[in-house]
Amino acid sequence: MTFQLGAALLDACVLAVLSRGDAYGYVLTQQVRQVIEVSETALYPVLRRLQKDGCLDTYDQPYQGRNRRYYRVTPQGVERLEEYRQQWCLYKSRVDTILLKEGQENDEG
Amino acid sequence: MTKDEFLTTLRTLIQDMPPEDRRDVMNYYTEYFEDAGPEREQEVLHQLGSPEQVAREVLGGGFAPAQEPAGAPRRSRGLISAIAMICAAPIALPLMAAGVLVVCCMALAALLCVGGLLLAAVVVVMMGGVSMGAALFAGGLGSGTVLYFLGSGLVLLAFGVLFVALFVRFGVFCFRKITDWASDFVNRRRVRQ
Repeated sequence: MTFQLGAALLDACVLAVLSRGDAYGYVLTQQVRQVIEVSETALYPVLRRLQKDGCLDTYDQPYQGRNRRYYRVTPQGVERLEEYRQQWCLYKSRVDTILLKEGQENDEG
Repeated sequence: MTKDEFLTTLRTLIQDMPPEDRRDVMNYYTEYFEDAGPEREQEVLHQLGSPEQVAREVLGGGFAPAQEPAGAPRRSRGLISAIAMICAAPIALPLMAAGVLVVCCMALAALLCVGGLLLAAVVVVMMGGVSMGAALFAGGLGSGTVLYFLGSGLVLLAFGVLFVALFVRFGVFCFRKITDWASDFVNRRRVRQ
């Protein structure tokens, strides 16, 4: 893949995946990775950042004799996701106007 | 590399983090391996890259590497170097004087060269001028003589211009060298303190 997600877009994707259901680190990373290449390893920095911003919180659940930490979206996280979605649509349409339209008014030489 | 080697290295690399953050990191990555399952250990290791890479990402939030242990406090350093300078004075002072003398001689030599070039330039230009002037008055002696005076006058003028050019070049060079040495000397003083 030529393009990579920037930090903000990565945050948005993580929030989006978690808004569909709580998840723990490994599964979350696999889901995001399936869609797009991620330069960060295992998403820990992203999750910690979102947590510090109050968009996520965590809880532990016992599993096979150990603890598994789950991440879930907070109400603030839901708001942030909505903002990201709007910005993405705007961004996407802007890029499309440059990238997708064929040669138009550039021959004004 | 195995999962345990990876985790041990990682723990060492992040040891300067606050204990709670460090525990969170280790828990996250340990769980990560365990959730992937032993059969996917190598795959995860490949995905994560090196422990150094992970540590760098995890530390990324502004944690600085451990500082070097502070050197001897400033005050005692000053006292020690003062004593050392006094002891070295009998040798150091004459050496410094000699050094200054050498620099002065070199400066004088450069000045003489530059001056000499200027003098040569002036004399030659004057001779050229005289010669050309003579050409004007020698009109009665025949065109050959006029041409001779004219020609030699021009040659002398050309040499004069050459000398002026050399004088300028050499002069600029000397000036630059002197200012370079001077600023080096000043800077070395500053760095030592």
